[in-house]
Amino acid sequence: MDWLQFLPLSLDRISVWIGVLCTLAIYSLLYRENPIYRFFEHMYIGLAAGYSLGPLGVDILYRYWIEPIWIQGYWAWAFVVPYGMYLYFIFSERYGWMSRIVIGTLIGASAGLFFQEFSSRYLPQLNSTLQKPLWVGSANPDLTYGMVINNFLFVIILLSVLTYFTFSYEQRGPVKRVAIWGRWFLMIGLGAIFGNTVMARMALLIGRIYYLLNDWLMIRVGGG
Amino acid sequence: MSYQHAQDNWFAAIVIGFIALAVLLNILRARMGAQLYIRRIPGLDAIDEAIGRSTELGRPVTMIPGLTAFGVVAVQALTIFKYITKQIARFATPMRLLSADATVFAVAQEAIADAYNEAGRPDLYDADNIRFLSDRQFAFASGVAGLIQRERVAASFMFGEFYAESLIFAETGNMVGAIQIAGTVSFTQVPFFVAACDYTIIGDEFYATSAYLSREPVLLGSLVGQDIAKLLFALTAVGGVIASTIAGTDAPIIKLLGQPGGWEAFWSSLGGGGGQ
Repeated sequence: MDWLQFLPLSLDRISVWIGVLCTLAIYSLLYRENPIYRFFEHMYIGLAAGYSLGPLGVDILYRYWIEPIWIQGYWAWAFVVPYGMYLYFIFSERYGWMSRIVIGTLIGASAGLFFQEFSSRYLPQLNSTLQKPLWVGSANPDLTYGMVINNFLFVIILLSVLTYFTFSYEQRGPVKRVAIWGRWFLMIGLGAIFGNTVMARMALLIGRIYYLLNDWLMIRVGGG
Repeated sequence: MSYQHAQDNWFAAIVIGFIALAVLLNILRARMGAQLYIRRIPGLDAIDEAIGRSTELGRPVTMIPGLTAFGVVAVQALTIFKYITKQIARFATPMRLLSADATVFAVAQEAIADAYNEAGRPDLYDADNIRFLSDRQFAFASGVAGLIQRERVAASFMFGEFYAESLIFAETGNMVGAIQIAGTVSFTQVPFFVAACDYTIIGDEFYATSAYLSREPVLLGSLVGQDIAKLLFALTAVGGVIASTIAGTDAPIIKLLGQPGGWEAFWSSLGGGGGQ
């Protein structure tokens, strides 16, 4: 290894060294909480707060407020930010009630938008559920026995999981047994999600290790 | 064509209207004093157990609403945190509520102050215990992980919407030996909580938890209304599966039940020439 290339003597190398320092400092939490982690944690939070100002100004205030008013001429938007700033009255004992107007608007808007979201998210799922024929016949000529088994499993799992997620009556007898089956099916599904995501997290870890080996220690691995 | 507007698919509008009616009627019933039954969720018993352990050890309880933006999920999470705060106020157990959303943070301060007042211990309320860390996902995660480690929390409650940071919280809590109870509507994060927490409240159980703990008529009525909606969905699914088995998946009745433009297709098949 060329030691001069390894040392932080150029701008690129300084940036790599800083990246490595941050990575190792944050990973040090895996051993125990320590002053180095604490310093980098606070620095990270501070940087994030500073960084947030950029998107706040460019992606929100400019795009949704300044541009519509000054460029597109929608002057009514001028009232939006003062209205939103009512939220700051939450810190005033006397005028705290004014912040609740904004909070009420936010809750109302999120509830109203959910109606729209419900249609576009759940209705297609419901319709897809209906298209699960359970028998090979003239009405469904393209259906195979494999698909029929798949459809049977789908309907059984759907109904048992749906039963598990009902709360307004006491589950006993056969209903309880169906709900227990629902819970088992759910756990099998969650296990599959877990395995899949662990693989994705391993890929992230490999990315970091690759950075340490390849970019920092300059040990060429994985054909990179 | 989409599902966004009623004229795209009238079945969607009817379903939403039915659910809204079921919810509203049950809220009305609850308000008029009807005793609506909600079955107990197993994870709820663990809340008192976790609080008891924190009190014995004299170490704090953390409450984390995740990355929840202010809305329905945040309100439900704060309802649960209010219940927990009322319980810990009885024993003067220290607490920390860590937020990633400025609005949730502001409302949480008020909700927690209310909880201490309702518990008769307003003197225990300290605004510094409700903290806004960062609205950046992993900056928030590192802040929470650091606090859990530094303060060696005895119990950690995570209720709300979580994303990739969920396992960081749960694993850090696990490392310090905290009793952890999590509940989330973010289905992809449930497996991590199941793996790393002592008790996990899954999906819709989250809504049931807040209704059960608060006994609020609005939440109770909503939950019963949702159960009616689930029954409607189950019946529609069974009916639809039978219909698609007998008449095929392209049958007009299948299109009617939820496909954009299905209403017109159904009426055309009956010779009505369109439903508008």
